[in-house]
Amino acid sequence: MSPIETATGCYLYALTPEGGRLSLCDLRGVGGGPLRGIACRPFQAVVEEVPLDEFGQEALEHHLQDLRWVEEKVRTHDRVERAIAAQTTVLPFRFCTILSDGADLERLMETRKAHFRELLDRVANATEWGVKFIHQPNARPQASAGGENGAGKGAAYLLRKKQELQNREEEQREAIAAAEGLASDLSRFARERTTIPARREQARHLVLNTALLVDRKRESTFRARVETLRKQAAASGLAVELTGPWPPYSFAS
Amino acid sequence: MNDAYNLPPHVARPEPQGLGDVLDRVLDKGIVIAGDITIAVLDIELLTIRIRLLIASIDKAQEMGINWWERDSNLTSQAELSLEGKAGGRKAEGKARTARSLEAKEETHHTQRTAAPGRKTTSQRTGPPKPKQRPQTQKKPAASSEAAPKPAAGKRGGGGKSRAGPGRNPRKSTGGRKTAKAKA
Repeated sequence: MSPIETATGCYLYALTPEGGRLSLCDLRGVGGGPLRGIACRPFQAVVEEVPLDEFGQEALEHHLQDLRWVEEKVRTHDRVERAIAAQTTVLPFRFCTILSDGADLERLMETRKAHFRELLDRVANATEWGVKFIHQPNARPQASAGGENGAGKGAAYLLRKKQELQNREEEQREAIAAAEGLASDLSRFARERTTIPARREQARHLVLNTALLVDRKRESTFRARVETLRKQAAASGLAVELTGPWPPYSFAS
Repeated sequence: MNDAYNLPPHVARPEPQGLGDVLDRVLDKGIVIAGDITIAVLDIELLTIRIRLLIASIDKAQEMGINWWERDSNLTSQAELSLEGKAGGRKAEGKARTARSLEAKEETHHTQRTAAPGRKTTSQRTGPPKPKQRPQTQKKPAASSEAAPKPAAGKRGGGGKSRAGPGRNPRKSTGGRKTAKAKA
């Protein structure tokens, strides 16, 4: 057993089609080291040798409690994927995919070759775009629920509250339906569409978070369509938030 | 492969993406070689769960008025001040999320979230949001990193998870064990 301090792992960022020359020398990876393209026919793997005293199981137990560490590494990972995506078709691996060595990489490629090939074809020459539909509550004035018709103040208050709640729920339902409609309109300009599950803290206003895989050639058409839809969305009390282009993370598994 | 296309300049972009969007993709998407635990140093699924838990616990703290990504290194009480001091989209997102979560808090503080196991989110408050007040006040000070006066990385996360000695080989063989724990 070698000492942990000197042990390294093979951080696997992405697969790309074989043969394309990647320019990676301006970049540093999550471990601060250089990135390498390794030919593993019929692919090319982008890897970095990372020290296990930072990325080993023990070390990660520690680091995973530090959000600053996590953010830095996650952003670096993303930056690398983007840099590759800017040069060729990229199939990104999950954050912190670390193999023991090059032999494991070869074995992985062998066992999953067909699968990887399929995925690479799926995302070839396309980028991912994120579209969020965010509900703007109280876009329409709340109807007053007849607080003046003789009921006591307390009862009127409760009635009004109830009415407001009902209005809000109905508004929410309408917003969801509208967002679904707009999203399927958008997917006519995309190869594929998938939904990103809302996290809890977003659930209130984020009506729909969707990712679309768009042909590079159709990007401008797609973006123009998003702009057009903004007006329609606003009429339904929805704001549209567009992010991208992303490497095709959401379509790589 | 790439010569036929005028590729968008991903590299040149200054990272307009919010951390949340990046996490949604980098953590939860992308190829997983989960079935091949024998050849991976780490159990990726477990790692993802751990990071999500961390973020959930921080969201919880943030819901109580602390903006973790706006925070200066070890001054929790400056969370609000530092909102003003940082640049660009992250600031905007931070504000939006604060507003959202403060609004949401009114409804959620008594129904109490269950997303993250208690270990990192034991601090529950029932009063109105006071950003500058430290969220703990119950139980152990290490319950929340936001509450701890100094980074208590070594202390937290100890709950039930054995921290092995330095001599153990962190590679391969531990994958299965960790998975089992994640499910426990």
